[in-house]
Amino acid sequence: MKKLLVIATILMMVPCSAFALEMLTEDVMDQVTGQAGVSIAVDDVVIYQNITSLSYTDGDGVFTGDAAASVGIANLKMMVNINAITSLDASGLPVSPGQSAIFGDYVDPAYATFSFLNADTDADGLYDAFEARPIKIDVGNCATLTAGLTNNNATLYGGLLPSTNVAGVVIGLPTVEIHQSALEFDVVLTQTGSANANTGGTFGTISIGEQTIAILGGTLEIAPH
Amino acid sequence: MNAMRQLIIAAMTIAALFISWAGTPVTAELCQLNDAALDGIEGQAGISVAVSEASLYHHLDGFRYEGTDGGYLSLEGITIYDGGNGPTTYNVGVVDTNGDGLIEPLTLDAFTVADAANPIFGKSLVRLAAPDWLQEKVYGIEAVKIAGYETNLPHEIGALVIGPIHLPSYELYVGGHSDGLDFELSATLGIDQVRLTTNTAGDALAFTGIYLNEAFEGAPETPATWVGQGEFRVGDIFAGTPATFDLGSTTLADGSVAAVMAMELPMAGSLRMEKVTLNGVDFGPVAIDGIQVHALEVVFVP
Repeated sequence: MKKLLVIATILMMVPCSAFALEMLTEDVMDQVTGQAGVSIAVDDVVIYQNITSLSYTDGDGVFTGDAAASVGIANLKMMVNINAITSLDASGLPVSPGQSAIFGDYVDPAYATFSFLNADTDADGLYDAFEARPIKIDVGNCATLTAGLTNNNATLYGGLLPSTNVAGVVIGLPTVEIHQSALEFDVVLTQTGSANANTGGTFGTISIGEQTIAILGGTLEIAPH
Repeated sequence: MNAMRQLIIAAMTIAALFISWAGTPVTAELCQLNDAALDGIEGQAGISVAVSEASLYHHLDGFRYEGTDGGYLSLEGITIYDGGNGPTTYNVGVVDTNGDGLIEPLTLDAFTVADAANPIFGKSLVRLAAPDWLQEKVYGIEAVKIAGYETNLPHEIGALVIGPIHLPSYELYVGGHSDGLDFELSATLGIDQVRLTTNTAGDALAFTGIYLNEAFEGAPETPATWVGQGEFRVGDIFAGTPATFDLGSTTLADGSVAAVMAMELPMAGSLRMEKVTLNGVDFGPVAIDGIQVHALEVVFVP
């Protein structure tokens, strides 16, 4: 009997109520602060991209009575490597950890090595250090958009805006290198009908050599209006 | 002892019952908003984008355009930077670059012209505007080469430096007509220098202080007095004369039918250059004011 009573007691401890969402009052919500935002590090990313064709079609031609034509590119292939820049070496050149090293050499043939400093540690307006940065995505106050609207409030709105705070997505740009292999493609004009003087015509071939982009940071703010 | 134990168990049982029944069994559910409530909600259309100290280096081994006959134009060793030893930097919506007292971000909107008196009433457009765009950007090209179709042997004409390029403000409208594109591009542009160095002795052809605006104040012969006003415009959508882009099979002047890419490029504005120098000889300023191109058809026939 006692054992049954104990078991019954334990079972009674299990909540049997149906809990549902409760509407919070404005006062309660004012006290709520949340954590928002993520940091994303990108390194040793290798992407192979193959675009068989990409075209734009004009269905009604240039002048009245013309047939349709399309312009596009074909057989575009490339390899893209993305590597995080996490430090500078003794020569001030970027370094990436992991399996893949930096692709670019960043040395101008005629002048001194480029500067990859991106942080002002002594607040003198000059960059004096390198700071490795991931991609940061936050939702909240957009400082730059807010500063602009605050400036414009007096000029454009007579100072009558109830608030100049702008909320949106704030994206911190990472320190990262993006390398793209050399690529080549034809620019092709395709027409409707075979009785054309330039059937199968192409505007020529575009060749783009290896590309290297090194991003050293910055902030992007996106907000609706 | 047994009684105490029974008393404790009973007390726990009662307490358990109380706890299990203590929660308020509220069932919340989504409520349908009525029209009056919906009327009070404002929708957002379009986005604003601000950029602060975005900095990057960009290097291309080369860019080449080759015709079907083998002739080509090649730009080798292209570096995009600040002209010194730093990266290109972008600041958008951070400072007032167009001098109107406002600090405005880049905006992207889609809309339909609702004014019945407007020549393009009912037309839908996408608008990209950047009234305050600040950049320090230089293109350094180590070698510019041209190869003729006869021999395909390249001839190097020199090294090219373009910049710093300043683009204080620009605006782009894009719409459609049937299956073609209508667009209007307006911008203020300044390029400190375009310099083609032709040999190792440093001889060069240079265009210094290049400006594109709607109009200029100041005497053309006195660059120090120049003040640019407004934006140089290609196409005027709201006047009913947009720039256009079309593709099609059409009949050429010689009666043959060919596939073509055709553009109409009406434009208006002014172009001035502070000076043109060749091997150190200064030819003075250049001013082309009041440009009004009512119709300019460009047809590409492969």
